[in-house]
Amino acid sequence: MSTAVGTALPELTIEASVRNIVATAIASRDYQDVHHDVATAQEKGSKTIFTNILTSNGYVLRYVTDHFGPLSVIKSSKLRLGVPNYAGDVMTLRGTVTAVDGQLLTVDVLGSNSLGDHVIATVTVEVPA
Amino acid sequence: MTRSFDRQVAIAGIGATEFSKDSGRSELQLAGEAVLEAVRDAGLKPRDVDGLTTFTMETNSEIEVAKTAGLGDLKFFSKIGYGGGAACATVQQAALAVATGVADTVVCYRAFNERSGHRFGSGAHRGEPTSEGIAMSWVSSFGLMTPASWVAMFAQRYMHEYGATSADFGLVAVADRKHAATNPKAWFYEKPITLEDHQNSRFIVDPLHLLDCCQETDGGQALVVTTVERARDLPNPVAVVSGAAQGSSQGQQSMVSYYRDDIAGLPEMGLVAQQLWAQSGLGPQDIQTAVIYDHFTPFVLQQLEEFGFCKRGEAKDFMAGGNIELGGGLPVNTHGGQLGEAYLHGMNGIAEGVRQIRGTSYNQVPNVENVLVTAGTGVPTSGCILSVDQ
Amino acid sequence: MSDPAALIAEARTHLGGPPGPLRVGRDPVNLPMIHHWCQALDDQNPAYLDEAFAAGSRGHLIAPPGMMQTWTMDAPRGPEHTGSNDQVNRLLDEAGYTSVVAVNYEHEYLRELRLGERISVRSTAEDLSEEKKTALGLGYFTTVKHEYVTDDGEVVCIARMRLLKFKPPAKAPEVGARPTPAVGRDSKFFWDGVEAGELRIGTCNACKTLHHPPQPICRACESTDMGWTVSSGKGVVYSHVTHHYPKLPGVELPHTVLLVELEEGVRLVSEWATGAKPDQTFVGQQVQVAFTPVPGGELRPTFKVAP
Repeated sequence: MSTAVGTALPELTIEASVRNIVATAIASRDYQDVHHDVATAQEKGSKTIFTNILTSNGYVLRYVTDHFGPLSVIKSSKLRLGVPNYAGDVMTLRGTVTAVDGQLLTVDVLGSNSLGDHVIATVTVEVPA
Repeated sequence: MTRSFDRQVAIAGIGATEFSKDSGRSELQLAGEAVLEAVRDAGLKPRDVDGLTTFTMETNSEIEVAKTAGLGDLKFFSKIGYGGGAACATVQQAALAVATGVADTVVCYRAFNERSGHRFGSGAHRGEPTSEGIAMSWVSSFGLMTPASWVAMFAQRYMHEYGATSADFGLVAVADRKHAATNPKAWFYEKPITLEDHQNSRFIVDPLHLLDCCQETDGGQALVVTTVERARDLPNPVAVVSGAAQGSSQGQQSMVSYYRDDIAGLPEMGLVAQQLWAQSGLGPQDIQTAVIYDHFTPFVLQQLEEFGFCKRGEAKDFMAGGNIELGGGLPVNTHGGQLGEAYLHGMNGIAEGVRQIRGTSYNQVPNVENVLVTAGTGVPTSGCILSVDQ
Repeated sequence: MSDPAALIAEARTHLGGPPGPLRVGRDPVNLPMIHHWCQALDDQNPAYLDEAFAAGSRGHLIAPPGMMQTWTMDAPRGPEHTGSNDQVNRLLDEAGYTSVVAVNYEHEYLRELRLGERISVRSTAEDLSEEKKTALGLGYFTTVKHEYVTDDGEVVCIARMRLLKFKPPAKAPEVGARPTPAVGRDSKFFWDGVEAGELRIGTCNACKTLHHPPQPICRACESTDMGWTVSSGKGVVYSHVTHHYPKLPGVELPHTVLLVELEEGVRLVSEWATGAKPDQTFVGQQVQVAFTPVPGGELRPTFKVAP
């Protein structure tokens, strides 16, 4: 597997179905109503329910470990949060290796949907020798 | 002296559409077709028609019918109330206009889709909007919904064509408020403004500031009209009506005649002016003071031009230096106008004209012989000249 | 005390202050919750659930690193919120910055978590920005540091969350829906054209004279055979106004209304296309028709500055 700077990770698309948003919010023990109750989310000014932050982070990390394998170890993640990921949208994750320091790689990950960039992330991951 | 129609008036043409249960066309088209048919029957051209009468219940306004049928400038238009009771009265009013020479050719009309459209017997109103409603819709659908905004659209173009500025409009407001300040009946009694006040007032509809717009008023005003002969036996000095005219010009719409070649003038007021000077034998030089309709300041400029007090585009120069204030060459709106005294749809201005003739105005102009009074602008309008009894 | 400046000043004194009582996770790191998470996120990494893989690699299962906060989510709070982060949030709330949105979410994972470990968290307010004008409203960015620790006090993860605490802007008054145009037999084609993306101008089929607004009889030749033609949509601003007062149904103020003269020679009243209002509107400005919705969602023929 290439770990050279510039290596692009294959795209991953995640359908933000209502089922997906609710299931991931509850799996992360996040009971905030904007992640499962459409009426309340709209009352609070959102278009509909949307993905919670823990899940967005979870997807970014999964995207990296999917590619570098189960022996890779996530060392850090830095997310900048952008547009919401609303139910009904599709988020596409794209990533590129941007730095290599021995076994420690830096991967930039961008998760975007129809509204723009949902998450702009930098992940460091230690890959097996 | 007995006054009558004296066999001076006749009906010269008749015209109608077919009568059906479903005309298949708009009420406006029915009115237009009937009017054109009557004009053809009379052997005349549409442009020969200079008057219209109809029912207050008619949904096709005179101006919509005139525009649609390509009629001439209108010097007389009237609507009569009370449903079917208006029928012969349309002829009566047309005859009054023709007998007095106010108009030469008046068409009386009535048209509707009373069967296929809104049936009187059906109660709730459904069906086609009226042609008047549709006409207003061409502007209101785009957010142009208030009188100030309708006038502002003309004003912006006038400014563009003649280099007038908001401060020029302000001269009207300053003069009105100066006169109101010394009229105890005025809403703005003892409250004059400066040009700076005008310029600093907030925008209502750019380019119009708050102080370009009249206040709104509760009130009433009435006038008694009788013969000069009889008036001479009554207590007050006589205010003779030396001219009275209506005007609605081609392409006329109500407040939004934006589709005519030139929108920097007020051709319907020009038509009134032409008639008034002709009826009275007077000219601008014979007027000592004028009541110029001022619901919004800009149209005062166009009116001064239409009446020939100055040339087109030169009203700003004419008004400069206090010329329309008391003591100036042509004091305007000595009661304070609708900006300063009250907005009573111009009727209070006619009363001020009478006071100037009687010599009883709070802001009396010396040696008044003739006063010009004008009516609402932007709409089919009217005017009159009042004179001292010689 | 209600002076916002004083409240913010007081909030600053808590920066770097004590974290307050540790919040202890309800459950230790456990297989059912990991299973639930992996199923929900469709994460098939065998390091989390596959005992055989675990035995042959690390020697034990690990928790997905993305679950770090999950272990302390909804952890019970003591009755007194005395930590520095609690204080900063309370003071910002009192000063009117009551809404919150996360801006950054950062984790440094010091080691992987194993089943059975109980995780607790302590939070410290680290930073409070100056007041910022943001798209959401006026607000302050706060940075809070979360330290995740095991029962024996080992720090396993350091997280930083940057939040925007903002004043929800006074809700823009609901403008409602723009009045629906009155459409009659003689003008229906025009509005049908708007739906079709065409600017249609009433045209006499007999003499080709254009009429706008449309009318049922040609004023040039008296024909009642009226049709329409499609305008190029190119024109110039002939006059314009900007409405400030009063409020109008379906109109966001200030609202600029245009009187456009089309190159075919007729004029119509219109407005700038949604989002296309230029900095300046002036007589003679070259414009091109667009078809955009007005408040309430109906389409209107509108204009944008010609390219």
